[in-house]
Amino acid sequence: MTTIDMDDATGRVAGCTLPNFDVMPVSDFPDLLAQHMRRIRASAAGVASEIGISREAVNNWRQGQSLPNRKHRDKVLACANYLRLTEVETNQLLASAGFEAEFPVEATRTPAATTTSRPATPAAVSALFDRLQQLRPYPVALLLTQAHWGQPPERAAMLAEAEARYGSSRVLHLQPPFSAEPAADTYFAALAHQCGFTGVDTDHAFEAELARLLRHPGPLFCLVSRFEQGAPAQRDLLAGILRSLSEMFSGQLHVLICGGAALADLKYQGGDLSLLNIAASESWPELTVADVQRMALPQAVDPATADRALRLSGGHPLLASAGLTLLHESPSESDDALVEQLASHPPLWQAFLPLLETPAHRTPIREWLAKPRLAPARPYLLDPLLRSLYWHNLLVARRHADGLWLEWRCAAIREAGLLIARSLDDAQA
Amino acid sequence: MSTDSRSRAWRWLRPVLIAAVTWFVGSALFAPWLNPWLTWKMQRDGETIMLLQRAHIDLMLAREEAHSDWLIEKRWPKEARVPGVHDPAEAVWTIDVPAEFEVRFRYTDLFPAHSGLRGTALILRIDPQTQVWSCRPGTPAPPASLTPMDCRVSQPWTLVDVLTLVLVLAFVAMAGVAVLVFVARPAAILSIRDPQRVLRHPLEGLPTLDRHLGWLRHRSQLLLAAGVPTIRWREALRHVADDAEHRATRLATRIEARSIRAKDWALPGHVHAWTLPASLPVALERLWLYQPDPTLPAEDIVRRLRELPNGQDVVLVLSPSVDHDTALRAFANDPANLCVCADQATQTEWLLQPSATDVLVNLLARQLRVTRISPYQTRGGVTRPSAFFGRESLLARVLHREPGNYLLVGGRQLGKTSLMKAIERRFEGHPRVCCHYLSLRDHRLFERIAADLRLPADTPIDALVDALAERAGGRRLLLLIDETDLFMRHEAQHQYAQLNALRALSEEGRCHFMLAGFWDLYEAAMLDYASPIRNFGEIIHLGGLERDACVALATEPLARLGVRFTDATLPEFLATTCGQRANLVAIACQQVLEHLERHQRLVDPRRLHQALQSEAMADALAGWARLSPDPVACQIDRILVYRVAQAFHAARSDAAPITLASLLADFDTAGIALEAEMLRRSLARLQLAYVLKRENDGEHVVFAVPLFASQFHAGEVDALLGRELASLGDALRGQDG
Repeated sequence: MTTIDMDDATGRVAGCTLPNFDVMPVSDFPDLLAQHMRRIRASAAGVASEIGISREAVNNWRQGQSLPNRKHRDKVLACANYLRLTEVETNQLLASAGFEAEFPVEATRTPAATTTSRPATPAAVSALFDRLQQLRPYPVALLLTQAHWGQPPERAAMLAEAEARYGSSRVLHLQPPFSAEPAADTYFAALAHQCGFTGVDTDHAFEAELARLLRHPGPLFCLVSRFEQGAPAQRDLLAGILRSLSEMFSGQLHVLICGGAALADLKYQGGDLSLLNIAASESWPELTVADVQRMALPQAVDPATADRALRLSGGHPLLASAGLTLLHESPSESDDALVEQLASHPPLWQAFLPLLETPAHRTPIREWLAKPRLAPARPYLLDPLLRSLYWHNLLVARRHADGLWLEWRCAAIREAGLLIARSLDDAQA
Repeated sequence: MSTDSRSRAWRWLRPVLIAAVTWFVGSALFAPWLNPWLTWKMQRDGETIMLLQRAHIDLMLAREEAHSDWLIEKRWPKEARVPGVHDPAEAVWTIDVPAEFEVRFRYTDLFPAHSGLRGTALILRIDPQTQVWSCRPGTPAPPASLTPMDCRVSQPWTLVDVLTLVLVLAFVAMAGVAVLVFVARPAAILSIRDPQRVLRHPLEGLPTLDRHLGWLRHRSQLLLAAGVPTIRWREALRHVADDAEHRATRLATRIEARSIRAKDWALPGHVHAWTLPASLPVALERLWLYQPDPTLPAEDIVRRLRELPNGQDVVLVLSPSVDHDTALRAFANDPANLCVCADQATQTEWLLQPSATDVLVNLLARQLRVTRISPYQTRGGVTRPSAFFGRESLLARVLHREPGNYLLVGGRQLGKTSLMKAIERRFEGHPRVCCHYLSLRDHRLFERIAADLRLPADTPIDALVDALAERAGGRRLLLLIDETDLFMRHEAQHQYAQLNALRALSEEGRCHFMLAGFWDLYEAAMLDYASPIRNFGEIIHLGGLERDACVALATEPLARLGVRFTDATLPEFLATTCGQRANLVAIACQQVLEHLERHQRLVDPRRLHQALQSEAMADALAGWARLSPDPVACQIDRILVYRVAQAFHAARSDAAPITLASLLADFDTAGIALEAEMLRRSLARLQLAYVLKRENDGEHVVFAVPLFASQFHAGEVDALLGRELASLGDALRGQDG
């Protein structure tokens, strides 16, 4: 019987050698946490109440007296959200605590490149903006991405493209604060701070400031990432503000809302937020060989290797990254061996475990794991379990002669699922 | 030599040739001595010329001899002769005296036969009073070309002469008309023959055409036949001579657009920003008008247009001349760019056609991707009047009565906002009613109105209504309040405080309201007997669009883009399949447009089927799973929908139709003790949301939109239903516990 040991501080799964993901020294975690808490003046009690652990535990983390438990990756992730960290900062914080990165690493751009000329915009970003600008009379779009993509993906390229199209003074980036507090003043004060508004602490004042900007000539672009997080009441208010401004300034306010499963739920299940009803849904395109090559930068990867990494990962961004590392270290390794190694990749276990732990879910998932294709793909999946697998980025919609069908992304994911299901069965037995 | 220079040379050469031919023929007939051919021919006959010179001298001598005899003898001689000529064989004349004071000279056979002079005569007569000689041709007369100048005396015209003259004049007149046709260019003649041609005459040629039509006295008649008012014609003529600024303004005015001079464009020429009117039947809010520098070659203009950064705005290029038309049109016809070229003929059409908007729309539809200007609005309240169809009876209920209160209830995406915006548009500029649209985002109605009026958030409702009334300028106020569900939910929990204030205002006649919402509004109005809103106003249920309006929605906007269905039954089929939901019809048509290939203008059943199965359609059909804030109510909703889907898939096996009783029995079978009232509410909610409908006198429950069933896979419905029933059972048992 294979036992699952997640307590190894290096992030190893028993019996499997995991690739080197440039894990930062563990000792950085207290410093990083303290630094990020100081930046937004967050108290230990505040962090503790938001992420559901004790104040003492947070203080212990901050003072370096203990590190997050291996089971508490989600807590560290919630902490990163609460502290409004960027994707890169989130990855660094997770790595410093010995966890895998949450977001794929975007290719870094050298300062020289940014000052002289704008790097080539990824085709997906440029196409997304083209479609957004063509939406009439409400240029509002939802960018729905599965897990492990940035929020938004290609953030730097997106903001650069937005600035090129709208002008730097006409681009706002709203990142609603991660707070369950129902207080509107702190929520809108935080948003106003992100927009550079001063003296704004109510929804009406925030709306008035946005309206003021919209009265200036030219469209205003508003990128909203992690829209779904935070208190529902404030989120609904923000949606209402953006909706009514879209009405008042028809075609002037261009909104791109980025999110994942929760945002899709808000749109397709609820229907209460008319902002989401008038928004066009956009999906982030699947990885291509060129994307994988770009992920590997500054290391140059030949197309054949990138293609192999893409095939082995099924387009899963973290698996593709891991695949690249494995191929770099042992290029002659067989596909089967690589699949076996990728099946032990922690994010897969973190995605599968909570679902398979529930016995009622294990049976249907096991049945699906045996099938080449699971169910017809639709904009919104009615089956909650299937939906959960999809948003965890374990499934992908692929076109067949009879339409789009959901499939497991790759053999490694199926292997991981079967392995975990067997392990849990054995453990119960 | 280029084609242009050849045609220019021919233009000059042609009248010269015509003139030469006319001269040649005319002189040959009437003035042979002026005819170059006859003159040349005569000059080639040296013998005759020599004899004629001798004859002339002899004539003078004989004449002088006769004159001298008369002066000496005092009587006219009986005969005359040439002094010194004794041999008759050498004489060029035979001379006799036919009458007193006359001498007749007849050419002898010494002249060659081909000269035509032999035997012809000239008669010279002296006036005894003045002693001046005159000459006239004798009988037979010598050929006109050889008759001495002083002997060409006019004679009375014979009938033949007159007829000849008429014939010749007719010929000359015809020749003149022919010349005129060539000079006036064929355009004038062709336009007279087909007056509609004038509408597509190149703009730069209009002044010339106008001048020629004036010469031909056909201008008024032609304009009348072409349906062009004189004032519009004059405007078009002025347009040709105007500067770029006036041209842009005039063209914009013809389509009710606003034109503003744009700066910071690197293009040589003039650029204007046009804001297009909302009434334009395609979705285009603005465009850039570019009038290139006419001195630039067409290829240069195209190159500069290609170098423009890729924007999202359409650039309308006005071709500066016919010579530029072909290259600019070819560039604009490429759907990859957003350039549209109005060639010279189109610019004339723009100025002369009764509807310049149609000209613009046709131009856009021909040269752009149709999806770029598709008039279909697939999301949100319809803002363009041309995209709003149907609901005439509902509009009439509101528009043709005294203002009152209304409750507009209906599911999401059924057109509540579109209807309210249509009402607002129709009341625009109304002399007695001032209408104001407002969209709520939470329960705070008064704060929302205050924010809209830019007043402090805590302004009391009376003051707000006073401010609105002031703005209305004495007209009656109708406030259209959208998205009222959260407001109604909050009101229900707080004794309807704000709603009572609204009721008081409407009873005083100060302001009337139309509230639009879904379930919370419906629940308060229809199911809550304690709610003060029950008698607040007239309830308007919004369901599917009228069938005719659906068909019009499916056909008219497509027709504007030149697209039509291959079969007249397809729009009917589309309306039925979409359950007469306007947004679904619009989405299907938009999908059809998106998948049409370039220049393809026919929609066949296969293409329509693809559109109905598209992802966009599936996206629009989702979003029904949580219609109520109560999670248990949502679970019941989902169970009902899955059950109807199950029955839909089993329909071929003659499964029993779904009824309220069968649904209750299903719950009982699953061991769930569900109150009938909860089920009734759920059914009402799904009906209001236009997910389900009752048919067969309300007995059978089916999908309101037949297409709705397509989102359920036969194999998965059973599993979903089983899981929901189990979950509901747990939830209800939990509540009981």
